[in-house]
Amino acid sequence: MRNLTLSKAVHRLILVATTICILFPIYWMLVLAFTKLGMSRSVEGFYPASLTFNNFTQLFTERPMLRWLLNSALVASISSALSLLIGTSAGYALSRLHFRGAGLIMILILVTQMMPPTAIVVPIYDLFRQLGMLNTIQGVTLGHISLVIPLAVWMTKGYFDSIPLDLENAARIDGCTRLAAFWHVALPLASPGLIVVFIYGFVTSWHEFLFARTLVSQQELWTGAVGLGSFRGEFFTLFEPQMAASVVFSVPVVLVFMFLQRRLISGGLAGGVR
Amino acid sequence: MAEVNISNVRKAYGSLEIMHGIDIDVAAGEFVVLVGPSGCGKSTLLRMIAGLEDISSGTISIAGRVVNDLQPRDRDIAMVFQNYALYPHMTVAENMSFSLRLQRLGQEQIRERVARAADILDLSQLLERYPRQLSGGQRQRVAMGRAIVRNPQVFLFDEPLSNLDAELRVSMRAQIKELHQRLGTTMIYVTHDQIEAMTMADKIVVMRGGRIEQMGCPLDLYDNPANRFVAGFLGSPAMNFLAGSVDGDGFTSKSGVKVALPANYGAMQGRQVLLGVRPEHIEIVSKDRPDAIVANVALIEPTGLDTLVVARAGQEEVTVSYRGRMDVRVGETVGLLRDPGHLHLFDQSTLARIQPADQQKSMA
Amino acid sequence: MVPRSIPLDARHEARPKPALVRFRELFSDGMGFPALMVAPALLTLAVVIGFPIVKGLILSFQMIKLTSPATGGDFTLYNYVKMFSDKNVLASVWRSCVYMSGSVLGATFVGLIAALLTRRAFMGRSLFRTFFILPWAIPAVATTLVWGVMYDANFGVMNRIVQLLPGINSNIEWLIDRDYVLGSLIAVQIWGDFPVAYLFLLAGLQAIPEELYEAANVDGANGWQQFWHITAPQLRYIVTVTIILLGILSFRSFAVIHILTGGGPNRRTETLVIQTYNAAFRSFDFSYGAALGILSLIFSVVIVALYIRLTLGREMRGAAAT
Ligand SMILES: Nc1ncnc2c1ncn2[C@@H]1O[C@H](COP(=O)(O)OP(=O)(O)OP(=O)(O)O)[C@@H](O)[C@H]1O
Ligand SMILES: [Mg+2]
Repeated sequence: MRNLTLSKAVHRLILVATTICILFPIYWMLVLAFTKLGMSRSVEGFYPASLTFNNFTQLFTERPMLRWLLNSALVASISSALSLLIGTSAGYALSRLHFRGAGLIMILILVTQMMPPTAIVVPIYDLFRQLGMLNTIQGVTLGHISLVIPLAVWMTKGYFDSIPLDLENAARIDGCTRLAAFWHVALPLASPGLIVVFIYGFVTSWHEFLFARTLVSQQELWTGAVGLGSFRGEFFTLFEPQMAASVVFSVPVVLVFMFLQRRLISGGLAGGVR
Repeated sequence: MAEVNISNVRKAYGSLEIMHGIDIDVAAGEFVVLVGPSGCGKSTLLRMIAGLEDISSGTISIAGRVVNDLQPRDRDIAMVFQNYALYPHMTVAENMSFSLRLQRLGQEQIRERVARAADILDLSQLLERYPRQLSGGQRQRVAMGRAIVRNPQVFLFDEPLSNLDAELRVSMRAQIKELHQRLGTTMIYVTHDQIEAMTMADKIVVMRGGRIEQMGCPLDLYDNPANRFVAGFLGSPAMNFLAGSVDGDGFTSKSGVKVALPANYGAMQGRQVLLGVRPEHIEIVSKDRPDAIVANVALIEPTGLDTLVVARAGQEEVTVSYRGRMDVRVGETVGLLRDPGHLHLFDQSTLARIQPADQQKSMA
Repeated sequence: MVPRSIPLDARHEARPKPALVRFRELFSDGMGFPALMVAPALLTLAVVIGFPIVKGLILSFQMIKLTSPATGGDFTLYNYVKMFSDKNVLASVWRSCVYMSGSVLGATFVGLIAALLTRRAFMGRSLFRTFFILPWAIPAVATTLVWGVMYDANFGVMNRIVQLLPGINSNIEWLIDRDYVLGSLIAVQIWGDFPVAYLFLLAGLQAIPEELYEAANVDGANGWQQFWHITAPQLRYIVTVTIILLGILSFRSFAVIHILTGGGPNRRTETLVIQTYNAAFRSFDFSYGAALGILSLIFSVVIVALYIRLTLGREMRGAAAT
């Protein structure tokens, strides 16, 4: 009995210590975000010396933070929605229709999912330069689609795999074409999963930095991820507003993750391990 | 109502052929049961009839129309799946009306047809529920309801009762049979349960390894199995088989047990055969009777209605089933008496049934 | 069962179908349907990935520099010759490997600890689970920026934390000191990636049947013995998958290094990915950048091959063969 309470105490101790280590950077981000401009250098302990909300208001008054957030939202929703649309049909075909070359296609898609984006960012930049697509929202969106589609195909395939095939067979006997069976049966049943795919795609695009950074140079077209970096001056960095911007930019995704935790986790595993 | 003709149908996955030329003619209104051990190709054949599997070669026609190239929805069939395949996102009523809505029937007509089917299957109280809110038996009935609202030419069933408990299975068996009598529609029914096959079928098709072993009406198959496999597959407890040879006026097993044969088996001196006797065709008598085979009781299994006795004679083990109860004990020595009218002989190498001489003559 | 060939005459003759029927089938059932479903994804991937890869290949065999417009599109092996004789390339490939190993080992370790701590139910477990996946939800850029502030040599909080330990009382230049900088970056990468390991390992741990531990308890095995004889062997597969996925994440990692050091000081943190970016967008040597991109592509194909071998294995190869 004593042994049990002891091991319980050790467990709690390690748990709390690990949690503190893990949460500290987030805590520090918040501390600095609420510290008066220029005062972060004089924070001496591990808690805020002064509190202010100014950094946040300043983001929206003196910087185009709202614009960046809107750009991020626009790029993320379009690239994720398009990828979902395209990925769903491919994922369905790969799950259901055993056609020649399906295995090869899956491997190809896996390769594209895993290769570093830097492998294609150079030629994409060169292509966009020639096509006049640099500094356009469409360009960034297209770049993000290349990241999200492979994810969408793999994840949707996983969801369709989990729906019994006989449901669609029954529908085909009931009078559906294959397309109609997909529409009336497979799609409605997969839709909770498809929402997860959409969120993953959205978050992937929201977080993305490389394409957003290289394909666009005009400040009004930046996404949030690029905007965050702009507080770094040549000689000194405005730490406090930078941290405030980081908080603002992180909050939407953190909220989504917290609310949909369970669903997103099982969905992520399905897409990851397949 | 329509007839179904299956002619020389083969199925291959890549280079592996799993169906080797199947021929079945199903008359209009007939209830045909496909039965056989697991993996013999029953489901595959049924799915080929439904159009869910491609046919590698041969033809399948429904109501005189070759359907090889027709999509499932164009074949005018309905199918009940083993796991029912109810649409989880639709209510019972929506499940049943799905095909009718696809046909764009009028609201009124749909409601009427669904109500009628629900009435037949006793589902009227459940129409607004979702499949997950139903018991196994209720789901099974919804699956049937979904099939009968269609009013199809042919019903296909793939082991529809295998997920139900024993009691429900018996009552659903009766319901399906009653439904067949009421609708008179052609039905093709897959099962691996030989009791289902015996009780429901107008015609049984026994399959094994992608081939038809025998086809015919249930009692005919039971009484005159064409080979050892069919003889052993139909009937529970299974037929007893003794290996041995024909000599003199009888059969002698490998371990020397002698069984007298009727005179019409006389012309087969020296032939290596299997002797088959069903458990219910053996009687337990006093060991002192001169015509009885002496055996030792090894096991007794009373089931209430009848009693199974496993007895050992020489090296051979014989199961006897006995209506009622009997006062024998394990270890006791008894006499076994076979019923001479119900002996089956099978050739030991081909395993085919050997017809007694007079039947051979009368058939010739 | 012996497969028998099908006699030709027994084959059902497929009659040629009228064009209209064929067209209809494309949208309903025939073999055109799979094609119709996969085509959009393949076309899009061809446009957004396939085409750039081809373009990258072409670029890598040319001499395109943004700084000197006179350079030309004639075929040349120059970039590849340069690549294979460039000591920095070998160094950055090596650095990528070091960075990957460090991040993967660290993230797997932290993830495993976190998973072991939250595998069994206790009050507030779901709260801790949320804490442990939080770093994943935060954008890499934001993560990197806050670590950057923490690493500041003069007033960053990291030095204050370390100086809580006895024996350390001078400030460490986390991002400048050549002995520390790579480790500092790896720590950031670990912090951002360990939730992935956490989720996979937690799922793996929870899939281990509790009876195994009960049996071990009866046999008198202590905590460590249970870990080594039950947990570790049961987790082997999922750990392999986790390691490969983490490896890919850290191999691809761009934001962390680019923002904190940009590859410096003096190329001490230049991985293959960063070198590619710097060649193209700092030196504006597009062709060389493209060639390095091809190299990293080959690198990732190798990882994928490994991944397929270890996980999807037989099933995928079977499907690919048909
Ligand atoms: N896609 C496939 N590829 C190769 N062989 C297959 C495939 N599908 C089925 N088979 C084989 O075809 C044979 C017949 O399968 P089928 O499902 O028809 O059996 P069944 O008689 O319905 O058995 P059960 O009673 O278990 O349902 C089996 O031996 C099976 O292994
Ligand atoms: Mg079957």
